[in-house]
Amino acid sequence: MPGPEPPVTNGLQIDQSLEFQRRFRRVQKLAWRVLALLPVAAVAGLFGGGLFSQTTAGSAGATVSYERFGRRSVDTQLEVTVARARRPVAVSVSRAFLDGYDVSEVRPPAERVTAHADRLVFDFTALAGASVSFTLTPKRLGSGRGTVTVAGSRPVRVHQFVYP
Amino acid sequence: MEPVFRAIGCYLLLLIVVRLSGKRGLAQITIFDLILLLLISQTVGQALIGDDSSLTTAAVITVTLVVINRASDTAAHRWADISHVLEDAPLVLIENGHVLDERLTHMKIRLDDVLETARLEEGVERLDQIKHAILERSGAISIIPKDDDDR
Repeated sequence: MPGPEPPVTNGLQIDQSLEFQRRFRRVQKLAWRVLALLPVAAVAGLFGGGLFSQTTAGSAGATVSYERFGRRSVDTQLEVTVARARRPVAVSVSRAFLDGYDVSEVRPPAERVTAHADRLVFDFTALAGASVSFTLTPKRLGSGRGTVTVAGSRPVRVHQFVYP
Repeated sequence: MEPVFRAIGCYLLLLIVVRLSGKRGLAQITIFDLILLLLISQTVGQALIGDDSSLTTAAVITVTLVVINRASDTAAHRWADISHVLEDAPLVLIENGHVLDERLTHMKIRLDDVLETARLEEGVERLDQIKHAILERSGAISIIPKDDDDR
């Protein structure tokens, strides 16, 4: 079927679908407002790497700093700062969280990594105030939750949302 | 499997953004449109392929894009509503010599643009020689000049 014959108006045979165009114009206006906000949201950090995307959680013993939002296959940093020195410092990261990432780099390199059923424990030599940094590459989309625990401190909950 | 979803995602993203931007076809492409086109193709191209530059993935993505395009063409041909959503509808800008200002303003078209097309396509010298001007779905402006009976 080639479709219905367009109506003739003022000598022109044309289907302008004016009602559709009016409705579409309203959608366009609304969409433009949303689209205009998108770059602002990106600068603010809604998609990671923005002004307010970094968050720090933790207690007196240890703090964990990471991005609230990540993007799949793009490296993101998780930094653990140790307030009290212990030798070695054992940082355990829950598998529930870590399974959504490839660990690209741990700096400084861990002296020993021990795999447990529900967590990986990284042992470092670190002084008070030192921080260790995990470079993680997200491989799973959506919400990733878990805990990071520095031995002797309370577990710190981490939560990152990963975009495609 | 992933390249197929990447291809579908990129196609839908571009379709939605380009349609909402109000651009029609590429019949009247400005230098800025060209720059935008080059930058977007470069940006989306990276997301489309990801880290996988194998020939197999290139083939999967190419075929997926062609299939989606064919499917949307078929849907547009079968259902007028989908045709309007995907390809828009023509819009009369000058009707029987009467300039429809609101439509020109909304479509960001100046009378200069209409007159330029009229000169190029029909050799028309003045606005009062134009009977109809229509913004087509392709983005081109078609001009129907007044004939002797109309004057």
